[in-house]
Amino acid sequence: MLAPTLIWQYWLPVFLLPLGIGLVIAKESNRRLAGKVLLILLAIAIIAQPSPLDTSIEGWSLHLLISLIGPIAAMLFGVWFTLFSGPIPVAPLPRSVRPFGFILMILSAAWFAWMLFEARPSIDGVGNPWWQHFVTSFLTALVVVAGFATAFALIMGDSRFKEASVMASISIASFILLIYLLAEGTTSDDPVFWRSASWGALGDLGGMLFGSGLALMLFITFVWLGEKRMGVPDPVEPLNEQETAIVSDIISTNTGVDE
Amino acid sequence: MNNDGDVVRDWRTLTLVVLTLTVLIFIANIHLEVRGEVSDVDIFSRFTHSALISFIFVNSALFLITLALSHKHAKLIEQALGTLLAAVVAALLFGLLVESGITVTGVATDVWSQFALGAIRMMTADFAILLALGTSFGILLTLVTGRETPSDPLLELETTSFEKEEE
Repeated sequence: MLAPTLIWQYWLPVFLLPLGIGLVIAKESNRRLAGKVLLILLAIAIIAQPSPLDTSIEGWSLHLLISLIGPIAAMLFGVWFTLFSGPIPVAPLPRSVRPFGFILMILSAAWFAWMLFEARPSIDGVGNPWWQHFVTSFLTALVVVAGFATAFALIMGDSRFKEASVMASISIASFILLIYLLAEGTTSDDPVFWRSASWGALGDLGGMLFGSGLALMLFITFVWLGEKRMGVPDPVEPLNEQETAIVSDIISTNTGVDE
Repeated sequence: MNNDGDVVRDWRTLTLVVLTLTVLIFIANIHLEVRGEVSDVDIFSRFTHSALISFIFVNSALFLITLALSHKHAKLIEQALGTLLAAVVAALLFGLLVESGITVTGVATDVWSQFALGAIRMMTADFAILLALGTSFGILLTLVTGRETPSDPLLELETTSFEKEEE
């Protein structure tokens, strides 16, 4: 039986998240304000969840998110510092910060590797059940995305061999790491579990691609049907004398030139 | 400067790279699975559940975003009602699928447990994809903007006083 706290403080916020995002990106200021308030309330509802995180699969997913805050923050700040202290016209940070940004990025990768091989996220010795699914999905996505970035830099860029080689290194390193996990495992997990997780993650990723793509195509069809039902708009009538006089008046007022 | 033909060729090449990498990952997984010692993973059930849950989630999200951004010219009947109905039909189909025995392992076989497990798996995978995108393109952006380029020579020119020249 699903606990009421999970409905109100996990599934409802997850369901309402797109509504909050939609309101925040609206043009009207009152809608934007309502969206911000809704997003804050959703965040509070999730954070204030009273049940321990290790009592449900929903709680474990939040535990995974909390466990990864450190490496994610290091990567975000690393990219931010490096980007805005580089040789770009809008750089608000001093150039001396740039190496620190690179160090933070390396720290992020090292932190993730440490969690992977030495300190799997756990509560009281019980490992997070979502960890292997996350790692295999992340490495699989990283191989493809970094590979795409490599080809993108080479094809679209102008003499971007250095950048492309760095991205290719990330893609190859992710692939080797994934294969290593599938073949050798880690100190806490046998390779059998990693293989099962990776195989399952491939099924999930393929299904997500298919289902999401189908939903987007259906939405485009709905928009097309809506536009089609509108019919051809009536031709616009030319201005009458009174309207012409008003327009001429406005133009002459703004340009200072009489007709 | 590229013409249209070049753009099509470039994107075709990029798509080919992504497809090749995906096939490589599949081959690596199949090769290791053939080696044995893999616990039972019904990839067909995982694929079906994931596709249906993604379909429900994307349609529900589009329904809510359509409501949030609705205006007087919006096609609410087609967009909002269409996406809502599509999500409901997919949810019913998911229920039928689970009731007919197509379930994933690791959780109770009732519809809600199966949906919750699939939905959290999907959200975890979404989170992983977002992180991979952010990491890759964040690093690429820092590298691309790091190149030193000579300043525009036009900026070094001084303005000329035409009055003095005339003198």
